[in-house]
Amino acid sequence: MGTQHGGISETHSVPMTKLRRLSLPPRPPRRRNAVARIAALACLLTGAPAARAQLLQRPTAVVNARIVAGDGRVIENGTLLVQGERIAALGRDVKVPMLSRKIDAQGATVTAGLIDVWSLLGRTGESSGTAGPTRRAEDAFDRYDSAHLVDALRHGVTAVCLSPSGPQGVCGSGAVIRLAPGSDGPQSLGRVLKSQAALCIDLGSDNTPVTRLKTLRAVQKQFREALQYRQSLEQYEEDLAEYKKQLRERASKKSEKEAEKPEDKPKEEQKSKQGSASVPSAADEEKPKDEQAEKQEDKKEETALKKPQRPEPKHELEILLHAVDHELPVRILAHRSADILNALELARTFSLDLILEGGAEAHLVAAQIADAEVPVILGSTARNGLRQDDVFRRTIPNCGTVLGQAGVRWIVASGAEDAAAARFVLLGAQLAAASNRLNDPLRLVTADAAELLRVADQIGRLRPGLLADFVLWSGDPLDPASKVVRVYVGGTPVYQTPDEPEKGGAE
Amino acid sequence: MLQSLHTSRCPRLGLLILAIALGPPLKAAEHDNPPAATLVAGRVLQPDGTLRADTAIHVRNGRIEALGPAAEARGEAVRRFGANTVICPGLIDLFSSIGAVGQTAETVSAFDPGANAADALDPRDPHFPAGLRAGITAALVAPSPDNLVGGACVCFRTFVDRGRLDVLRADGPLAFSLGEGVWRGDRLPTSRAGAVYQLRKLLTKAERGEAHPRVDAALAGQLDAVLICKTRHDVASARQVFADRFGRFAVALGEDAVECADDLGGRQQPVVVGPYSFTSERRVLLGAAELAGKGIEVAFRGGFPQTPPDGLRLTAALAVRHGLDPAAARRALTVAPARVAGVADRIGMLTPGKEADLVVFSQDPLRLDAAVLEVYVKGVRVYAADRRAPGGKP
Repeated sequence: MGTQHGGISETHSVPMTKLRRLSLPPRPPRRRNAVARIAALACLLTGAPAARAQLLQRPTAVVNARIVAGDGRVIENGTLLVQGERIAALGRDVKVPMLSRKIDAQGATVTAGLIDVWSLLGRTGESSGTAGPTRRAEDAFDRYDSAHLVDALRHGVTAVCLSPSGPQGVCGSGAVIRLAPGSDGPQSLGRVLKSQAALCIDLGSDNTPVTRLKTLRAVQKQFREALQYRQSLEQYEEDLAEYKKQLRERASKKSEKEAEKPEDKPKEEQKSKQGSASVPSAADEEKPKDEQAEKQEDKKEETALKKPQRPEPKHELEILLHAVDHELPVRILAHRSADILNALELARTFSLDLILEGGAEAHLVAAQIADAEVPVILGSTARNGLRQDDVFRRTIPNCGTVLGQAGVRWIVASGAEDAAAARFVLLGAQLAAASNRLNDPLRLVTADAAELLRVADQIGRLRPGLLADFVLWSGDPLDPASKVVRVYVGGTPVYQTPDEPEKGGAE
Repeated sequence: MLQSLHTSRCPRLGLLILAIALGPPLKAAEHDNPPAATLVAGRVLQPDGTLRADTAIHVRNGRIEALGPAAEARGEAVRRFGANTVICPGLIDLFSSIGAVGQTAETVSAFDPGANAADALDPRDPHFPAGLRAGITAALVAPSPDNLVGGACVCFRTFVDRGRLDVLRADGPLAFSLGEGVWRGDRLPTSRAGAVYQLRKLLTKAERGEAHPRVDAALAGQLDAVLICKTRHDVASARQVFADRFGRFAVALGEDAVECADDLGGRQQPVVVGPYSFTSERRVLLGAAELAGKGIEVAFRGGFPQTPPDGLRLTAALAVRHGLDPAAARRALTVAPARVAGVADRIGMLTPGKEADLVVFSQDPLRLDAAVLEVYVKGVRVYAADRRAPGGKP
C-alpha cells in the first residue's frame, strides 16, 4: 500500500465489521447490503444534497502526523479529527470515532492552509472602466481558473484576500476567499469567507507627483462627500422625526377639537379632514366667525408642514461610511514615502482603521507608521529598482527589520503583482524571514495573516472549532524539497499529489 | 593568469588569445598576508551537491588546504558556526549584467568574436557589494545576445579590493547566440534562415582555418563556447547547424527548457536556465527538473541586478519545489556555473587546492529563510552579517 510508495495511505477504519468477521458465525453479507441499500434509498429520498452529505458524512481522521498547530505547539505523532467542515479535535490522544475515514499521514507535517493577504489569484479581466467604491473583488474572481487555483493549492495556499485592483483612487472592497469546492462541484473552487473585508484604495505610486496628488484629492473628496451624505441623512432623520411629531400633535389637537364639536355635523368634520385641499364652501361661510378663523389657522399650519425629502441614496458612499465607522479596515496601496505619509494623514483625518500595502519606502517613515499604529503588508515579489524614477529604487531587503524595530507590525503577501505569484507566498515569507532574522516564516502566512484579515476565528490555525483548511506536507514546509501531498479545505479534499497512488476510498 | 588559460590545448593559440584578449594582464589584488584559518560549520557542501556533517575546512594562503574531521579542529584560528549552518562555495551568477556599463556587444555587425565583455565593466558598481552580501562571490558577464558571435565572456569576483576588479578569466567562453534580436531589419541577418545560413558560412570558413582565431579555436574544441538560445526553435536551429559540435557547447536557455530537453541530451557541459521568479509559469519552472531527468547538468542564472540578489537562490528553490534534486540544485549554484565559466579549476568546489571563496549560510542555501552569515574571498573574511541585529516582530 502506501508504505511501498512512501506516500500516504488511506484506510477505512471499520472495526465493527472486522470484529464480526472474527467472531462466529459471521453475519450474512446480504444483510449489510440491505442496510446500505436502505441508507442509500433514504439519502436519495431526502433529496437535498446538503442533507445527503450530512447523512453520509463520516469524520475524517488524519493520524500519525506531525501537526504544526500554529500557536507554537508542534504535536509529534498526533491525530487531527475533522467533523463536517470544522476541526473537531487534535492532539496525541484523540480518540478516533468508529467509521471515520482514516488517513495515515506516515509522519507527514500538517499545517494550516496558507493565506495570501494581498492577492490577485483568480482575477479575471483587466482593470478598466471607472474606479468605484462599489466594486467588489469577489465579482472578478474566476472560480473556473483551475490552472492558477490548482497551482495555488499545489503549494499549500487555501485562502486569499483579493484586491479589487483598478484605476487609482478608491478601488472597491476586497474579499477573503477560501479555495473550497463550489456548489457546482469540484470543477470550480472558491467560497467567499468574508465579503467586504476591506475598503481598498490605490494612491498610484507609479504615477507622476501631480497625478498622485490628484488621486489623493479625489479620495479625500469622496470621504468628505460621504460625511456630507451622512449629515444629510441625519438631517433627514431629524426632519422626519419633527414632521411626524407635528403630525401627531395636530392629530391630537384635532381630536380634541372634534370632541368639543357638536355631534350632528358629520359633513363639516369630513371636510376638515380633507385639509388644505378643501375649498371653502357655503357651509363654511355659515359658520360662526371664531370657528372659521380657527379653521384658517389650521390650514396655514398644514401648508407649512411638508414631508421632508429623503436624500438620493448613494451606495458608492455608503461603504466609505462603513470604513469611517470602523466596520471594515481601509487598505491603502502606497509605495513612496510621500504617499505613505498622505495615507496616514487621510486615516487620521477620517479616523480610519488603516492597513498599508506595498511600502517599498516604508522603512524611511517607520517612526510615523509606528505612531499611527498601522500594520504594513510588504509585497514578496521582490523587485530591484534600477531606474532613477523607479518606485522600488529605495527598497531594502531588511525593511521588516527597520519596521519591527520601530514597533510596526508587518506581514508579507504576494503583492497583487500577478495572479500566479500567490502560490509562492510561503517562499516570499521565507525570503523576508532571512533578511529580517525572523524565526517563523510559516506564521506570517497563516496565523498572522488570519489575524490581519480579522478571520482568525475561522482560519489560520489548527484548533478545534476552526474551519478544517489544512495541508499535508511530505516534510518540513520550509524545505523546498518537501511537497504538498494533500490539501483539505473545509474538510473536503481539494488537492492530492498526482503521483500518489489512488486509494479506493479517496474522494 | 596563464594558468587560467589551461583550457587552450594549443600553446601558440593560447598566447594569441592572450595577446588579443588581455593586453596588459590584470593582476588580481593581493590580500595582505591571508591568515590561516579553520572553519567548522554544521555541514559542508561537497562537490556532488550533498551536505556532509562534521567537517572542518582548513584554509591557508587563500586556498583550501585540506578538509578534516571537525572534532580534530583545534587552535586559535578555528571559527565555529552553529549546528544548522552550511559552508558552501561562493555562489556564481551566470549571464549577469552586474558591473556592466553600456552595451556589452556591438550592434552593427552580427560577428564580433574579438570583443570582450571585460571591457565594459565598472569596478565601482554598487551592485558588487549587494551581490557579495547575498553570497554571490563571482559572476560571468556575457556579451549581449544580439550577435551570432558576440565575443568573449568575462568571469570575475564580486569582491572589489581598492577599486580593482579581480578577474578570474577575461577570455571566458566565446558566446554564440541565436534568437529574436539576432536577426534585425538594419543589418544581416534579417531572418532565422539568414542567421542559419550565415553560421553555415562561418563554419565552412572555420574548417579552412580562415575565420577569427577564437571562432576557429571554439569550433575545433580548443576554446570553450556557450550558445545562447531564446526559444526551442533556436535550439533546433543550432543543433542543425553545429551538428556534432553542438554537444560540446554549454547552452543558455530562455523559458523552453521542457520543450528542448530532448535536443540537449548527451552533453558534457551544463545547460543554463533561469532566472525563475514568483510569476514564472509552471511550465518554465519544471524545466530544470526535466533537464536533470535527461542526465543534463543544470546551472542557474539569477538575473541580478535586474532582479534582487536573492534571485539566484530563489531560482534554485523554485526548481527544487518543481522536482529538481536538491543536490543537483546545489551544484547548479556552484560547480556547474564554474564549469560554464571555465573556472572550475579555481573555484566552485570545496576541495583541497581550490581558492577559498566560501559562504557560511545559517541553513541549507536552498531554503530561502537561510541567511548569509559570513563571506570569505581567497580565505579572507570580506562580509559578516550583524548578528546583534534583532529580528522584526511581526
